Amino acid sequence: MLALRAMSRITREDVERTAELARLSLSDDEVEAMTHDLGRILDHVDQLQALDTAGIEPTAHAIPLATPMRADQASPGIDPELALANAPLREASAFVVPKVIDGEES
Amino acid sequence: MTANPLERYEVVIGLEVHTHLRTESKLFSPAPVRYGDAPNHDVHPIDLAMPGVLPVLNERVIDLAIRLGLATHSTVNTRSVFSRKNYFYPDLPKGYQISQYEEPVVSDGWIEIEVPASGEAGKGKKGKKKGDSATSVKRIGVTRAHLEEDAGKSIHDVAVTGADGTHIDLNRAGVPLLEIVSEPDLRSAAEAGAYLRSLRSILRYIEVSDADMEKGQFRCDANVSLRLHGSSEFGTRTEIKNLNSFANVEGAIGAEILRQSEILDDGGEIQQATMAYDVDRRRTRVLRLKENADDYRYFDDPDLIPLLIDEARIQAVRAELPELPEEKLERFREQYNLAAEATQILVGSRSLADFFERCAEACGSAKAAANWIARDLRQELNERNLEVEDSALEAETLASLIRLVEEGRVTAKSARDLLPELVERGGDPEALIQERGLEAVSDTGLIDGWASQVIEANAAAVESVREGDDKPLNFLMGQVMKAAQGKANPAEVRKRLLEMIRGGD
Repeated sequence: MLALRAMSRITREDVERTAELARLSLSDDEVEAMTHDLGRILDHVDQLQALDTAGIEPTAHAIPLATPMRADQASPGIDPELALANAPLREASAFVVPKVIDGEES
Repeated sequence: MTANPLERYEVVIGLEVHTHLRTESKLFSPAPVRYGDAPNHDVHPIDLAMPGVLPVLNERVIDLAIRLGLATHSTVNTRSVFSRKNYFYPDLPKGYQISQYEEPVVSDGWIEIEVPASGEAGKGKKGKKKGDSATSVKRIGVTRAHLEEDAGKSIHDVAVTGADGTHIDLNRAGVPLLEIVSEPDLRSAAEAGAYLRSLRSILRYIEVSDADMEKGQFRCDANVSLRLHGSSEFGTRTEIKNLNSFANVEGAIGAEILRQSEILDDGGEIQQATMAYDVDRRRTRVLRLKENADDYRYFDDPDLIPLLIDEARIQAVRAELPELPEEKLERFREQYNLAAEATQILVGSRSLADFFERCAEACGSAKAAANWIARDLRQELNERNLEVEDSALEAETLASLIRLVEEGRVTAKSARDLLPELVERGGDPEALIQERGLEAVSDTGLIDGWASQVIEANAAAVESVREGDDKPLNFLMGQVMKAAQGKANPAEVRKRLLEMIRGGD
């Protein structure tokens, strides 16, 4: 019953769409395997759902901490040569990437 | 073929404004926030998304966000959450932007804008009694404001990049932003412009942002839809991206209204889309359709725990909040009783308002100070593209110039002629006037000499004045001033002209 519900929750299309968003190229076999594995993961979450959490505030972190912060003090950026050290292509101190259509994003 | 589309359709506009925060360093890294440096000179490994780095929040932005919340009558949320907005683009090294999504730091507020009183402004409330009768005040909802980091800059300009590359500069990556989202309460391009001006003025007053559009510190996306008048449902909206000047915001909205109305008139449907505004052709074009609805897969950033703000901090910021534009406007109306337009101009910028108050106090005449600042000085500043604080002219200097004019020791014209120099280099007006020989001439002998020449040369005008018409008198005065090279004391000129023409009765 649990397994059935999970299986119907994750479809091949879900996996293909998720892979596309993550810019991953998956073979048919991999899509098949992912669909299965992701379903299993949701099964596991279902088991956790069985816990009674009424009255317990949701937390994103296990340790209660005050927000760590730093003072607004600037220190110089790193040496641009270092910043660009891994760039396959550069021009003066700019990274160069393949032409992007103007205004597509940002 | 269509007349004004707004006769058939009501336009509904909501704006998203991205404003850079006034900080020394970035939102999550200690790299400096600077404009105009060579590419990639202001970056920290955190901005470059090097492996193993962790973001640490800049404490300053919390107070700036609180200020904005208080100044827009919003709720400052004591708990907000940083999320990852996932998308791929070359100027976003991490592959996600740290933003706030479900729990923003500021929500549910409003600001006021001035709209033409005759306007169709739906929920406009009546203008304040002392305000300009031609306008009324409308309240625009602020849905939310959230903190996020800016992306880097992609440089597409072929002149810079050559034919086949895009340059990436990450100096801007990580610069702290507030994204301020309005309710869809705006009903015309002009209202959108008024909202932006009002918001920018607030941001500058409370020193949250310099909001310089030319530097990209204040950018706007506009959501636009049309519906038939009387309809209560919203039409399908499009979003026009990256509007970077007031003229472009109003131009783009106007163009988009036209585009949508033509589709609707032809019985078509508006498709949800992201648009760009082509300034040269004054048209909007589709960048991408939203069928592939943006799917940013937001989730809480595991590197950052929720931002908790305690009430004491909010109260501390409230205690130090400067007077806001609307409060200053009200006080100026009460205190100085100036022309409505001059009041608006002075209050439009905090530095100009402060300059005015110092000058008015020093020269003893608020009215004269207002005239000089709102008219002459502002013109000089605009011509040079300067803010008053960037000018060499001090309020006390202008005050002493005004006093010299009021005392009749220099004519208003000569004083105005000195203004450009004072704005650019400063100086002592009294010394300059002596040095240049600009003292107003009150010597009756000299004035009579000029007046006689003018009377002789302008018989018709003189005749009208003799018959009691005062209008040509201004013309004659102008002629005398011209002969005197602007240096004659105008009151004295007027007096002598009248005496000589009408025989001083």
